[in-house]
Amino acid sequence: MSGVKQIAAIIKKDMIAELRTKEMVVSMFLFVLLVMVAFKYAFGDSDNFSTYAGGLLWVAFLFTALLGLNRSFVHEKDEGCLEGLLLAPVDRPNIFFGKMIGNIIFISVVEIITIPIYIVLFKLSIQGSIALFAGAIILSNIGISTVGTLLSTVSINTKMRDMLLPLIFLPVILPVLAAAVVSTGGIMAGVTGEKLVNVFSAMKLLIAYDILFLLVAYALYDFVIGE
Amino acid sequence: MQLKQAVPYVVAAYMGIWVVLFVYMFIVNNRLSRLKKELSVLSKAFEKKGE
Amino acid sequence: MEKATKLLFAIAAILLLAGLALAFFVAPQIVIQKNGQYLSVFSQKIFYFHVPVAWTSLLAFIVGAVFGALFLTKKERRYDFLSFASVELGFLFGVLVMWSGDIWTRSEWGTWWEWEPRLTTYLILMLLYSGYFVLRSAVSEESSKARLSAAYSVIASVTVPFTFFAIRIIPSVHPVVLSMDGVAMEPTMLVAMLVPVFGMTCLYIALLLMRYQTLLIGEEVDYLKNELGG
Repeated sequence: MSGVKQIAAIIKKDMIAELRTKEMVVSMFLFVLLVMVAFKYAFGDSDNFSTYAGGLLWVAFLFTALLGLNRSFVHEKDEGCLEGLLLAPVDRPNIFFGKMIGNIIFISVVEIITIPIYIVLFKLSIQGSIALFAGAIILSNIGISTVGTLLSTVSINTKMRDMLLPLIFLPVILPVLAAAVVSTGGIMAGVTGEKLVNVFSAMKLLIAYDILFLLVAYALYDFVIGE
Repeated sequence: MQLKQAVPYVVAAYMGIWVVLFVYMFIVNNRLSRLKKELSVLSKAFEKKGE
Repeated sequence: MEKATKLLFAIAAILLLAGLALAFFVAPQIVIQKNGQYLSVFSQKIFYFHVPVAWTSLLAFIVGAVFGALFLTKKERRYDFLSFASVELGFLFGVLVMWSGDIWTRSEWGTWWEWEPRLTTYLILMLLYSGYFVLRSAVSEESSKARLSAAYSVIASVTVPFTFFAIRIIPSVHPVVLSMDGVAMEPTMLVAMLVPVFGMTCLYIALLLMRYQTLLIGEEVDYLKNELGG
């Protein structure tokens, strides 16, 4: 099997498993909604959320992604599927790419459903370019899934398992959170001039982060997944 | 901030650095000498067992 | 190795004591003009040791990652020990960076914490490397412990520059701070900073060798205990 076929097979396997139970997307979606309701009460009677638009969005998405990332390897490990996957004649980096693209799909599906609801709930609007907004989200999703897949493989091989993931994932992903908040928040507010430059430098940072961590994950995955 | 007011802060900053470094050095050095003792006792015992 | 360690400790002690003397007796007192009055900024003296400690901490994290990568390619146990010892020292020096930086913040701005880019970077670094120690403690099998923590030390070191830049793209509410780069450095000040930089680096290497030895001997002791017990 060629590399692309191997990756496609792993993605297909995860999608079929998900379509049967729908547990991941449904629970991630409900979790985002709950976080947003929690935000409403955490911020009291404030009625103008536009200043925090990017922040609200990404804190919710980040924790939802964490929920999904934990699941993506926990059931593989619990049901002994990971050993099967490792025994199969599949290159280790391809396991990573398959899992990572699967995670991107799950996160993206949840985001596509949630963003309109979020905009309505908090009376927000996207004043800048929608394409740019989508671009910033896609770049952030790649970063989150790359680092998330890599680190959830680390955490699943420890005694603490899913307890460890937030502790190592959140500090590593903080640059993405900062850049995602600056870029999407700026685009939603429709900034111009110097602030728009800031949006672009945040997106450049996201691109650099994605490329570098894809390389790191490619180089390290063999060591991380186990002997 | 002027000289007099800043003095306690400068002293605190330097003291902190030195105290922490010395404590760390002390702890590691203690552990090293304890382990060395243990090693010599154990290797003697090991040699005896081998005989 | 023990001789080298002792020699390095001696060099470090000389350089650091010289650094102290240079910082307080040779380097000129910085004077700024504010509201028509001349004020001497004594708290700036903290920087003569704050900067060397910060440099050493970053160096230790980089060295930790290099030994981590070496462990992954060579699979020799000693590289894991060196990597772990270096990260531990980086963390120790990082705590000192935050301590001296925060004391400076308190004396200059009157608050215990300010979301100032440099201090914030260090706070995140400390959290990042706290994860390293939690990860190590969460793996009982020695070879996977070494493998996973080596990988994490590489990942963490790649994160550092991104953290650095990411913090700076967030619009800061704080006005431009008085800093070392804001003030023209006189040659004596530069020397007063460089001498402790070298001193701290020597101290770091000496501590690294000492910590490395405890790990090596500790492994041997464990091995002998197992042999004798079994």
